[in-house]
Amino acid sequence: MSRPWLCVLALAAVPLSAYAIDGEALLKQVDRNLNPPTYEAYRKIINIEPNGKRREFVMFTVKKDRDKVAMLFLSPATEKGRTTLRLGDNMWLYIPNVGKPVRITSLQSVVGGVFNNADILSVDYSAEYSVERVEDAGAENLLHLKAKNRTVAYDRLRMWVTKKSPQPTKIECVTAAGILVKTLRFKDIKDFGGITRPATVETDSPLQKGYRSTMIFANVKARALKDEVFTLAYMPKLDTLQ
Amino acid sequence: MRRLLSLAAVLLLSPSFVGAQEEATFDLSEIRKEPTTIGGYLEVRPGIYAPDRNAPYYWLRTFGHNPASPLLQWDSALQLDVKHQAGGTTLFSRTNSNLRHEYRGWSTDTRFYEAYASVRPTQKLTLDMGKKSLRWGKGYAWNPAAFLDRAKDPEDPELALEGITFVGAEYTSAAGGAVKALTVSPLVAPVFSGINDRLGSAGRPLYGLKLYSLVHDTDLDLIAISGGGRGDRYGADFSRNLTPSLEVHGEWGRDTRASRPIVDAAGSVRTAGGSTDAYLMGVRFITPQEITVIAEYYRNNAGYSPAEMRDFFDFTSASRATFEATGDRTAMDRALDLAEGAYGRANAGRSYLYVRASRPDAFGVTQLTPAVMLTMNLDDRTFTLTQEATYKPEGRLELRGQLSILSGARSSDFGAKANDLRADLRVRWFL
Repeated sequence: MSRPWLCVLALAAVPLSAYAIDGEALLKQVDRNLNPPTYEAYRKIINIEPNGKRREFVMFTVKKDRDKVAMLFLSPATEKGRTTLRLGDNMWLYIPNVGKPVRITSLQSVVGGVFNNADILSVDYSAEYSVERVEDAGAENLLHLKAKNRTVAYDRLRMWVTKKSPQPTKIECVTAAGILVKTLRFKDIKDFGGITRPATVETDSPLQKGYRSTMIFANVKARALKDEVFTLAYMPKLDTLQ
Repeated sequence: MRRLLSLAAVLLLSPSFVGAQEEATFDLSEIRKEPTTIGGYLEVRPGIYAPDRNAPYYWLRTFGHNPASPLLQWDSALQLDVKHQAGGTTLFSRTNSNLRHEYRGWSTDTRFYEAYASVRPTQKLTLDMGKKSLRWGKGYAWNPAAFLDRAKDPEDPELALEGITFVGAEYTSAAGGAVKALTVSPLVAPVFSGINDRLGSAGRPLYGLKLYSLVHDTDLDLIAISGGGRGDRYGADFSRNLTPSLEVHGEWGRDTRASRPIVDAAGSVRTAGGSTDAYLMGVRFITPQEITVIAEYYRNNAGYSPAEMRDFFDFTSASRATFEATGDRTAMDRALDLAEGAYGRANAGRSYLYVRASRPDAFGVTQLTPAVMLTMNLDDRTFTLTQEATYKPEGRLELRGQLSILSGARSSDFGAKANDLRADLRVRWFL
């Protein structure tokens, strides 16, 4: 083979070898940069309707490991005291007057608006998605994610992640047919005292024109939690963790 | 220039523009936790009823009165929840106060639905003492395994219920593997006059045990009740998602010493007893149009067949005729007693179907949830059909309108009810 061709091949190989990124490891790093393995946080969800009307929900959330999430509604008064629990693919809703948990699905929404239960009770991305490929998108990496099974809310995600201290800046949620159903935008990087992550997540959907929802994080901090907190028996007592 | 300024003013002041520019903030004072919290709601519920004056239950319920038609009724209620938490101890009370105005005049009732102390020595163990609502069972409209709970109103199954008085514990272990969680809940309930006396004989306590487990993504409960001077009772239930949008559940209960009175058309009463089962199978699914459908089949072998119910209604009519002709109340009093007991239950028959369909944020209106419910006695094909709309215009207010139509021959389950049509508007203000 002639030397010029060898040089061309060598030059072409350099970016390819430099770009042999372990996508799965990168996704796990994204998960850890977003949240510690076990933590508590307060969140506010603001749903904005096309006419400008706002509805706000304040929640207390605890999460452990990859797929255990529990949440307590603090306001408004009509929802106060309700709790939700997620264990892997299982989700439940507890309403104090009803007095017992009932199963709910990831595609429903306990708060209405653009966020659904899968977005609100989100688990580690690496628990639900595998990385198909990673693209160099300039200042960011673009991860192409595929759901690990059919129970996951979205069939595919396109996740833009900063190269330095990997965190998502945008996620597009896509159906199996390739239809964009939702875009999540991560903003306002904030130091919560040991955890530096986006404090704001905004979302909109081409399927819900004119509707926008925003999730704001506050008081995110690591916290040791027992597995028993993430059981049906603990759902009526979640307020004792505050 | 003036036109441009006017246009700018219109744009700047339009709701969509104002909403878009309003900053999303989170005031941490919103999340300050107080040791004592007060919740609950204040409710008013005016209702109008179209009575069937020849229906057996109309006569049984209004005996001695001559109400106007249509019937107007005004209900108001205050449910007050007070909770105090200190360390691992919680004190909770829920009182329910009702004020009603109807053809009988004014009436009022206040009672503690719940009042208990709960101590948590660890996150695995909770000890409860006092009056508390258990809400066992997985069924939505009926709960054949909820032996200790008060009967739900199938047309409003999400209402709070008055609890029972007991001492109990709850121990939970969240081991890994196939069994993701296990909860053991034993309890002892005393029975005295005025305390749990509907559950058994005075001086004979009740013992209960519930075992819950989450096994292979399936909720499973096993229930056993003994004591109270009654036969032992056993129950089980399960709930599982078959697909992300389809849930299936079931519930079974057995009373080893059930008894019920059966009256013939002549008024002779015998008691049928023995071990009887009741069970329920149901599904909950969500359609691609985001309509949630709950469908349940309920079978109660201790319920009344259509022929047995007809005999009761025939006896009621005959006792009324006797009273009106002779003034003799003997048969009529027996009919009234039976109507207060097993014959007067909301669903006294054997086989029922319940279907509820609802859709949140319907017609592009956020927080508007219309629903339609059907409860049908499958033996005599009579039913009640309810249309409902719930709206939460703001964070503390909930409005709900219901319109129910009952259908059936006069000597049938739903045809014998006091009203052919009911309509009410419930306004709740959450505290």
